[in-house]
Amino acid sequence: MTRLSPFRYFAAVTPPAAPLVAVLAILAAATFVLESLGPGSSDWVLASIALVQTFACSSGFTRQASRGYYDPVLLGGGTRVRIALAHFGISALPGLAAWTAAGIAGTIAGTSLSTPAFRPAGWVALLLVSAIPWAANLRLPPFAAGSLWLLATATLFLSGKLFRALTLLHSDPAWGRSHPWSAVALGLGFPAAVPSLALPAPVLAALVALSFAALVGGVVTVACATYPLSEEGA
Amino acid sequence: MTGVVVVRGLSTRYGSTPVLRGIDFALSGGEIVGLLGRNGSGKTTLLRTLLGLARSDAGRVEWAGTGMGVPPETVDHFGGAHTLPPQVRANTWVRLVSRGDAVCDDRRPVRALSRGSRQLLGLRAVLARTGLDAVFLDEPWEGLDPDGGRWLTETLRRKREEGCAFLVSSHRLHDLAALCDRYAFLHDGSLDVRPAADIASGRVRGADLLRAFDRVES
Repeated sequence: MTRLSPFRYFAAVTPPAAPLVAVLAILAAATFVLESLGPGSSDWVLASIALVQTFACSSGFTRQASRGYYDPVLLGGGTRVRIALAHFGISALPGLAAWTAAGIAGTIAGTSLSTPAFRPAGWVALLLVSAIPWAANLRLPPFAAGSLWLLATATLFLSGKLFRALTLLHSDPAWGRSHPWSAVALGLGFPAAVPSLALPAPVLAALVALSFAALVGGVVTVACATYPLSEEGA
Repeated sequence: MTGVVVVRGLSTRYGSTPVLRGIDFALSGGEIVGLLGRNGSGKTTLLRTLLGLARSDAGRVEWAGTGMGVPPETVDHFGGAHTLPPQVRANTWVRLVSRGDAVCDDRRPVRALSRGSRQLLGLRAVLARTGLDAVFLDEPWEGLDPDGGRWLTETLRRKREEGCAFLVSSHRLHDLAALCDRYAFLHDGSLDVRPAADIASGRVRGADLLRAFDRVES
């Protein structure tokens, strides 16, 4: 008997929102145009892709599952861990594709693999904006975690705290090493800027650890949750 | 008790309200069990709890093939037209859920179909699968026209002969009466299981079933 592939199921049943995929495609195409005009001129596009990715990964799981939409895949013979990872993979795939395209455009224009998208900080930023919104949004309506993160970033920026930290980091690249927790907070508060920030390796490692912790938490949530139909009032 | 699925002492509650109280039950291969109960009696909760989709507070569910509370992939379920994702295309849904055992030419999204068509689509996708050991159906006749109803009844009969077990929740007593080997009455959280032969007599089996149902309820 053919086993139902969770990846194929989510791709067909709850694919990433078409407008977000369209925006990511446009941003990916824009990097090729901008990089052909001048190498390095598309760095801001990475921040935009990261921003859109927070929304693409805020896809939600429990609400759809409690409507019965995921019954076939939950009963399809695959483990819940595999189901959760497939759901995360489908949510993150468009952003990953756009990110990779931006990196390829930068590599072609700069004739080097050391483009912001392909540097460690770039991959950390992508992981951060993929894993944390996905895990945080599992029990929420679509786009809630992305909206809350954007709101938190805007609030921090308007309060001046984010701007002050960014200024300190730009004026003194060693600031991140002497203030690691502040640097981690800066990465969490403004993840879209991580590829362009000179964050030290321990800070990047801490951000990776946080992302993986969120991912594991999300997988455990999907694996352990039960899904009574919401119309039953559960 | 032996069977495709064996349940011992299954209990669950919503908040402080008990929904299922110490249910013991076994479903065997090649039988159709009709699950009856008033609205809100917990039929859907029982189906989803047996499938591991809803939480139980006590008791054990053991599925043949896995020996655990998780059903094997040879078990399927259809919870009704409202459980179909509205944006998915009909042909995609049938291909996915039937594991390629059925095809559908309709490329419209599920939300564009009438309720009856959605119900039939969901049933066709699940029942087209080959090699199934058990299928749980929640109000399967709901919204079907007479032709669809007859197709469903005939399909359930045919698959029972192939060895598939069914647990079918329905208020359509006449449809159940024409099919079931046993009836499970869910009342006040308890399950009272009776062989069909003990209940049916004469020609109007649905009416007899209704009387039996009322006796259990009272």
